[in-house]
Amino acid sequence: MGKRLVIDPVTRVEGHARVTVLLEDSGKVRDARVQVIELRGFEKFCVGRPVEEMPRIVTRICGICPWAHHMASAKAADALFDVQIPEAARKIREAAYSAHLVHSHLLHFFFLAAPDLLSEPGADYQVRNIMGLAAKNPDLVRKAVRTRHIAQEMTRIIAANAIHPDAVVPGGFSRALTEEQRQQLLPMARECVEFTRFALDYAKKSVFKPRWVELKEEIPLTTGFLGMVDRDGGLNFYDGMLRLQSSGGGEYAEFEPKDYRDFIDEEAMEWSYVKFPYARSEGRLSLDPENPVGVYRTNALARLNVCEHIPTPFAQQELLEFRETVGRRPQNTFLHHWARLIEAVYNAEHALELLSDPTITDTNVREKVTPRAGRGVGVVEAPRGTLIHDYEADDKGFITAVNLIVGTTHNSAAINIDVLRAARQLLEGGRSDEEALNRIEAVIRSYDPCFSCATHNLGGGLPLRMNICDSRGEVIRTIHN
Amino acid sequence: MPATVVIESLSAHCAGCEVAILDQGEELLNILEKITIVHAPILMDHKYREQADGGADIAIPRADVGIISGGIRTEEDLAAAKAVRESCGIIIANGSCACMGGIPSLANLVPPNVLQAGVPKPEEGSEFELPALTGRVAALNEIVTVDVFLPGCPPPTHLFAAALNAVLEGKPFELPEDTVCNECPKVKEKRTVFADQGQQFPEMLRPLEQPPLEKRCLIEQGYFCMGAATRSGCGARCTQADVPCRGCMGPKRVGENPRAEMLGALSVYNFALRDVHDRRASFNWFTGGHSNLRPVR
Repeated sequence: MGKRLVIDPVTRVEGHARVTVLLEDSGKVRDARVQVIELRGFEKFCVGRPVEEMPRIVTRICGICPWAHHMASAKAADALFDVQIPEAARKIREAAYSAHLVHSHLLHFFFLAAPDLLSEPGADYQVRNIMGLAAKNPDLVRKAVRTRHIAQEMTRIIAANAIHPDAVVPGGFSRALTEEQRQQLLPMARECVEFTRFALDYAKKSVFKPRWVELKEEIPLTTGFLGMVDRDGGLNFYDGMLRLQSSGGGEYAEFEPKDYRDFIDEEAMEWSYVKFPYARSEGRLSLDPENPVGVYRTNALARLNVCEHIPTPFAQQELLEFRETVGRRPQNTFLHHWARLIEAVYNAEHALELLSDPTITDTNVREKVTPRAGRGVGVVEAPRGTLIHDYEADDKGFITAVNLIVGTTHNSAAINIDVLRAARQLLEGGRSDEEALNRIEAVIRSYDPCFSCATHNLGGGLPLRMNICDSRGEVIRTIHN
Repeated sequence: MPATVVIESLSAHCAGCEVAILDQGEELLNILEKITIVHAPILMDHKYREQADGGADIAIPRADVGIISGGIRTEEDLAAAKAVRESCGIIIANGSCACMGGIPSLANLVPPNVLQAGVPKPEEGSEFELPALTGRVAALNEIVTVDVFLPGCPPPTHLFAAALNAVLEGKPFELPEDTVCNECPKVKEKRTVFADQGQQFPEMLRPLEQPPLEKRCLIEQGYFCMGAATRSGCGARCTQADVPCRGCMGPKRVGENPRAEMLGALSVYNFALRDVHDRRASFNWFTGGHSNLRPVR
């Protein structure tokens, strides 16, 4: 039996995961898997809770993107109780959510990813981090720290709580936005637009474009993509239709988010606490790196690939330049970083646009809600991909079933395949040094995964099957729920 | 010489406590000048083991301060908590999960066989092992000694800075022992809105049927608001947004069950336990560790 390499924990990501690489005696990579090693069971312990409390419980799925869960949950509750929220409430929700996305994207780029992108190649782990970057580029890092904080503060002004908000309620928003708050927020939004544009320019020049010259010759992992668009096919994070693009081609299925079960199936693996969704149209899931089946990706690159345009001017200009450089439907995993910063510009612009509209301070922000039985699906684009909350409730409005599919969950299959591909390439010739292993992790980081988000109990409502495999990866037993 | 710090998170967590550290804003850079972080998986690449193919034990570098967030959910969490305790002079339990179990400890309401139904269980000897889940979610001080408790979901930024500075200066850090009501801007009239209208027995409302009145105490309006049995320090963030407190700062003394005090506060207004919606969970959203929540079959 050969050697085993374990990267534990995977660092500069949210949540708990490890990478296990199995080597043959010759040193050749036999297999590699990303194992998510945490599980909290939200889908089980939310059963029995009142629906209106859900938006306040599920925020704790993730402290980096609590607003995404908060928003998807409130939308699921709106749908379940069949309530139309007032227009001002929608505007406040979207403004807060856009600011939140600026925070999350900047956090990922500068704190988690940039140490790989902006450090010297082979830099020691003690300087390959935000502290090391701050020593090298004090002005840039100070501005990034400041702007991420401003975006976070914007959500605090709007909702009183930035991390673990509770102001989005079924039926709308718990309090109106005052004109005074709007005036306070406007310059903050402008500063976000300015810095995200600066950051994107900087990263294009120093990282994305030079790196693309090397990367464009590589054969990338080729998958489908899932993302949300508005009624005109424009990028949208808060509401719209889902598009599931088939791998390789330009065709896609477009559907109402509530119908996701007709397009997505899920599978479980006995070696990870995360579920593996796949495109139902392809009938099965295969993680074979030579011939993946059913695999699609979500997150920044997917969103830019499925949309036709971006509805704000600066970001649209950036999208055109991006497409001109890398093509209409690029597959290279590294491009997530570039796509993410374009999205940061969009969200900053979108927040500014919403806050520039004085009707956002309308005081009618909340509809009366009457509990009832039913099912409600709430879907948003979380920073890390399409986020689905699906609830069922009894006639008193207490939860009877919960299913969650989270951005990172959609990417489970792709992350695993990409890591195996990277391990084969980077550990060639028996390498197992720190630099090579970090480059495997950098592939994971491109997806900006949130492993705590991704893990939930199985059997939340979808039919599931679990494959038990032997050491060669052959399926020896299949369990159904 | 700057103090050395470990920032570790156990798996029953969400990373909100770590983001809250960043929410110090530019003050963060000043704090970073006073400390050297030697292990912090969310920010830097120090691993549990020196070699990717070496030993099973988790090795945490020696440090003056260990900041731990998250509750204990897996066998690996048990090992990590013990390893950080052994390597660090002072342990700060950062956030409600580490202090009291937090939201993930709501899982303690669910019988283990129900919770684990459908959960992957790797076969013995698998090449891809998964750490086993523990029987229940535990708070940090149920497993190791904790020196400083910093509750809150997440802990208020000013309290984090105060706690860390106190520890770095070798001073004690104490939290106030009063309730959120003391910080809440809403007004108490010492009777409910139902009593205002001459009704003898008040009704408990769900926070969705109508928006609450802006100025009046939420309990007096018939909403279940844990502020009356919850430690202050948060600045009453939730009631300021017109939503009732759910008790994230925990009881006035860590480890206690806030249920009795909350029932007392409700009884003042003639509310009884049976009036509380979801009474199994409502008192202990953030305090399900310390055996405060148990499965009901």
